[in-house]
Amino acid sequence: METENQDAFVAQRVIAGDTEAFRVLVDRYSDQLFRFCRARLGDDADAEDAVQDVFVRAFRSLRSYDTSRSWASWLFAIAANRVKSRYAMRASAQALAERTAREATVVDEALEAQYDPERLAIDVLLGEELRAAVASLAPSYRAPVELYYFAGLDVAGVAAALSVGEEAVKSRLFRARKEILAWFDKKEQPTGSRRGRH
Amino acid sequence: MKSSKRARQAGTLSPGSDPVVDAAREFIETRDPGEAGVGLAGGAKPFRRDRRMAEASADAIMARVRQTSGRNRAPGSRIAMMAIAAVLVAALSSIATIGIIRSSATVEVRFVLSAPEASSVMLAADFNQWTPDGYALKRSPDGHWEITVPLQKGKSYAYNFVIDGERWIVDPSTASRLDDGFGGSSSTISL
Repeated sequence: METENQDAFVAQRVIAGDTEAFRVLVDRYSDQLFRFCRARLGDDADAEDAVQDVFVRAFRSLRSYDTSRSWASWLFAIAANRVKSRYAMRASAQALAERTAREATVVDEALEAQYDPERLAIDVLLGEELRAAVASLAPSYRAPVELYYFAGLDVAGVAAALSVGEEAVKSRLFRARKEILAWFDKKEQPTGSRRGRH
Repeated sequence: MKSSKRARQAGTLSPGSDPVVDAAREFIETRDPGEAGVGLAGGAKPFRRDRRMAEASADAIMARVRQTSGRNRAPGSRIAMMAIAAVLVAALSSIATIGIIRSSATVEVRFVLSAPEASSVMLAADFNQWTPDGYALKRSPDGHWEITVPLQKGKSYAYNFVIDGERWIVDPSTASRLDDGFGGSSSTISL
């Protein structure tokens, strides 16, 4: 709540003409927005482009933001719609082709960025695994999952961003979680008796 | 609870288990509030962001925002927008048009598009946070789609029509366009 008040205060300053104050909102939410876009688009560069575009769009529309409501939810409402309509089809085709190349460069990236190569490899593959699982969901489940798990919004924030009730969000998250876990189980089954999960 | 969690806590994974699927399963089963919902207790994080790219993005956003801000303040652009608004009102008889009914504090704006082949037409705009749900245009027998929206007087708005839920187009009857930041354009209207 405190953060929401601060966001609204910053937004009011920007609306009043203090353009540089917008950087506060960019720094506060760009990582969350990146994860959301990256989950949907499947490519780092596309996700960075989308982050920029959504923030610029938000800035241009800022006068229509109701400062009594959550700025984060307002931002992600814009993101959910823009990413869905503009990038989804292009990105899904590209992502498949680029995955092999990305995996091949994991070790190089790790050395350059001084990350533990094994951890980075798992992170990259983990992202792809989650993306694939979430992509298997029905559209009405997909957006709540991406906002909740990848953007890190809470249930109220997801509800506000998608203009649905909190109960509907909880119900969709609950069902989506079941479907995703079943998807993982199914994926492991064909390789035989790796592990029992029942 | 979860076998993946138990295996991770014990420091070993079951022989033959897929550590990536384990991590993915654990990610979905547990949400760490300290990480704003993202990341695992063990430190695995999907969609790691390159910090240099993040910094470059923030700089690019601010550069574009300053440009936009500068344009908005330029008196020349305000005059241009007023001229465009006049053109909009004059374009009432064209294929797609906007009708304006004035009232006291708000203006009833009628958005009209001719799209006989469309199955649905929605209106996405800055005044609805680019969320077209709830802004479906109604079809008339002659293939025109329309919706009337109350908007505030004295403000400028940007909008697109969304055809069949996926094709975003500008209003073909208006000349006033704005780069939408996505390689396309939005139409604008000043009231």
